[in-house]
Amino acid sequence: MGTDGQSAARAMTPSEPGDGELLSAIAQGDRQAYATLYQRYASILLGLLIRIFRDRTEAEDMLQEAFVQIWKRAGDFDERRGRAIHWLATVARNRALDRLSTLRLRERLTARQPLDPLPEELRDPVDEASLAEDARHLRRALDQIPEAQRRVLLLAYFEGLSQSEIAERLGTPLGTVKSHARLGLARLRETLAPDHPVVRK
Amino acid sequence: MRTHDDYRQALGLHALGSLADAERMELESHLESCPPCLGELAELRETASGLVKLAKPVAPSPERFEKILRALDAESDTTVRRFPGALHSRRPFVWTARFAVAAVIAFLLVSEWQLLGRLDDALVQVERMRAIGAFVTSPGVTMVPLWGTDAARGAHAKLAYEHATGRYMLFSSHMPVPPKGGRYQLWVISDQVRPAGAFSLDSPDGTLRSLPRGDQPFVFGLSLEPEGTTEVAEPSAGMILMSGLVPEPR
Repeated sequence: MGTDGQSAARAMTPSEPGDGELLSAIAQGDRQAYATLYQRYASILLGLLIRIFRDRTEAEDMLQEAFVQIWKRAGDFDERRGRAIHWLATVARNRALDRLSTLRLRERLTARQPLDPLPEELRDPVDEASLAEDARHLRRALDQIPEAQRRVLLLAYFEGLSQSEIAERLGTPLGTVKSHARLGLARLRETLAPDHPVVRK
Repeated sequence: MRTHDDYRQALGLHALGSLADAERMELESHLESCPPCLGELAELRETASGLVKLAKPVAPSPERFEKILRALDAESDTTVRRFPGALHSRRPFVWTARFAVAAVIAFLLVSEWQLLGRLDDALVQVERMRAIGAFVTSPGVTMVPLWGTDAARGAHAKLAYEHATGRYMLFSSHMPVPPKGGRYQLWVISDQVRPAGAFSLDSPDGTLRSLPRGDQPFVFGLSLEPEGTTEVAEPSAGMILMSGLVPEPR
């Protein structure tokens, strides 16, 4: 079994354990497996969290929270239901969205300035130079879906916006946001299929 | 009344985690009896979670992994020291229950004269945990996470409360210590800030008051109140923990 995510480009020896094996070992309390999983995926998860929080300190604290959760919940991972990086990202992102909700509410309650605007270098979620083949493949697939749908997916996933915040940001009715999210994901899935003529060229 | 198509339209936002709490809970109820929607949601979720690959990798600071290991150790210590008030969720409950069983086994290894007394203690603790487990997993109980504000960075907690009765238990970690004789106080914050109950870490449970009725959105806040107070009408300082918007009760 191979690794996935950004580390796909990294050479892996035949003896290196797969992600499912690592998570099984972690569920049994194996800290060496935990360290290996951390080395494999902490960077990509931190990249995701920095995109969401726009603040490195907050993102690193959340990375820590996420890895504590991963330690506790490793036994929940089921390889038949998806790839490990997707599960790890879901754990990290769910914690981040809870935290983000608290931060935004606190900003509203205390009428303080909103979070710092997104730094220019982080505005584009795609840094071509850093993309592994998997990510370039995903980028090409995203380019195939209508822009309105793509914007909804990126605002929801990378900025953690709620449905009403997305509707407000885009000046789009809520029903249209829902429709863009569903159709965008369905189209993306279809475009990522192994036999798709454009993306796999 | 929403139709099947209405629920289906919302699956994309649900997969992305952007659906409003009330609608999300309604959709989840629909999913329990709709295998086609459940199947589509699984596919959309898998696609959505793959977007992580677009994030630019950033190496964590070198000491971060050590901090994570220390956090794991601290949680284990907290669980033993403040047992059972340090439970955090249903899953840790299972983990902690296993720990308690391991502790019972460990007790069996000590010399015989210590055995009976310690076994009694362990059984009392296991029974207490069983009661807590029954409460947090009962159908009417909602589990709400709270996060440390700038006044208590690193603190976090989960509040399990039963909307119908107001009964609550708070499971916390890395909480700031109140001044001698002081207490923690819960608040319900909506268009106003209302006291909802006071407690200490030795007894992190009680009965909530002032829960809003209907669909009024609210959050929980937690403050530290000084010595000599039972419950105050207004917080004496800022909140040390706050939740996100509280979902409607199950």
